[in-house]
Amino acid sequence: MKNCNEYFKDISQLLDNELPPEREKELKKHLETCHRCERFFREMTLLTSYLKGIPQEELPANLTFKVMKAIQRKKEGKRAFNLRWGTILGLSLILIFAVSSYIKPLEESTQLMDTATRLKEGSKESTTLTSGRKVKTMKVNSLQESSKILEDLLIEFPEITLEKKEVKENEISYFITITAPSEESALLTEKLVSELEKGVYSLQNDSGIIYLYIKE
Amino acid sequence: MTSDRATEIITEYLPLIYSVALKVVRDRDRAEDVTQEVCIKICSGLARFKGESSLKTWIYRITVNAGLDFLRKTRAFREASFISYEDKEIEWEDNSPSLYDIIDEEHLRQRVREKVMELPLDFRLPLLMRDVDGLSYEEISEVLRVPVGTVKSRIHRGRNLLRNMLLTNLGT
Repeated sequence: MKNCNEYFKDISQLLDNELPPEREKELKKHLETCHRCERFFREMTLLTSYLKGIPQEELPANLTFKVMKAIQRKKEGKRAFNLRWGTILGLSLILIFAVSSYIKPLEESTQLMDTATRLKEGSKESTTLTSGRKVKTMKVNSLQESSKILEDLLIEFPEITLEKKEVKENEISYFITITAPSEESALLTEKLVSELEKGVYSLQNDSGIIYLYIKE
Repeated sequence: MTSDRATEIITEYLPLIYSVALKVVRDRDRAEDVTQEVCIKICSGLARFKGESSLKTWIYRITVNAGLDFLRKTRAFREASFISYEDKEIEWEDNSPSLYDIIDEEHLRQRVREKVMELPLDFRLPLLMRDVDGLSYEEISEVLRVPVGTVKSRIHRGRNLLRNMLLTNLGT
């Protein structure tokens, strides 16, 4: 037998037209005999009708102009940035290439070590990629879906480009390149990882591992 | 210049972007800043949009995320997440106050508009997305990247909390 608090939840869903027909029937029957629930139903109906009546905010008169101007400014700024940083990046890549054979993989962060320890069972660490700093090892429920989510997420991060570096049966490794000032890049990476973690919450198929490496 | 497609989309969705930004940051000037940032992201990201979610949901999500980022950079985030009203189970007696005790309909309508913006973010966003913007549970789940069950529960609790807030301020 349901209690009133459980019926309150059903009432909320009924108001959203999201209650399955069987439960709707049961609820309506209950409303005929329960004063508390009937009162809750009436109050919530009133409340949602007022919420639904809240008008859309009016657009400030000059916002369209400001937006177009901001886009234009960003494009011009990006061109200047690319010219300046293109040269620096080119020189850096040559330098990295020249010394890469002498560099050992950088030590992973504590957070990563924690993750790796947790994933020890049933997973193996990738050993082939040593030219980037590993920022994240993620065990995901569906490799294909998670990979799609990651690529989709990048639309929100124009400063980040992703390069699929290695694909194995149940592992994908990505290289991330960030074209942003260094003080912003750590934040961007952190945000990307956190968004990705949120994005894979409900996937339930076969498992896999995603590795993220950052090019530095 | 901005591509024709991007310009079309921005023109069409600008009112939505601004209104969503306002729901998150609760300040007109800040909402304008967020709107500009979102439009820049749409321009640079449109080519990579694969249509796996609807355009509206995609734009909605970018806007919510940009708004949350904006809040994180300020102290407003902690304030916005802070529950200042007690979110308790409903215990009603027959003679306890009811929304129907607020006789002045226009007054109540106005209070609802004000108080809903005082709800903590976790409840405010799903509730406004559902009741004001008419998004489905699935769409809200996709935008906020939380399971549908969480969406249902936050909407329900958001309404209860809003009701309690309205009754707490009854007559003020």
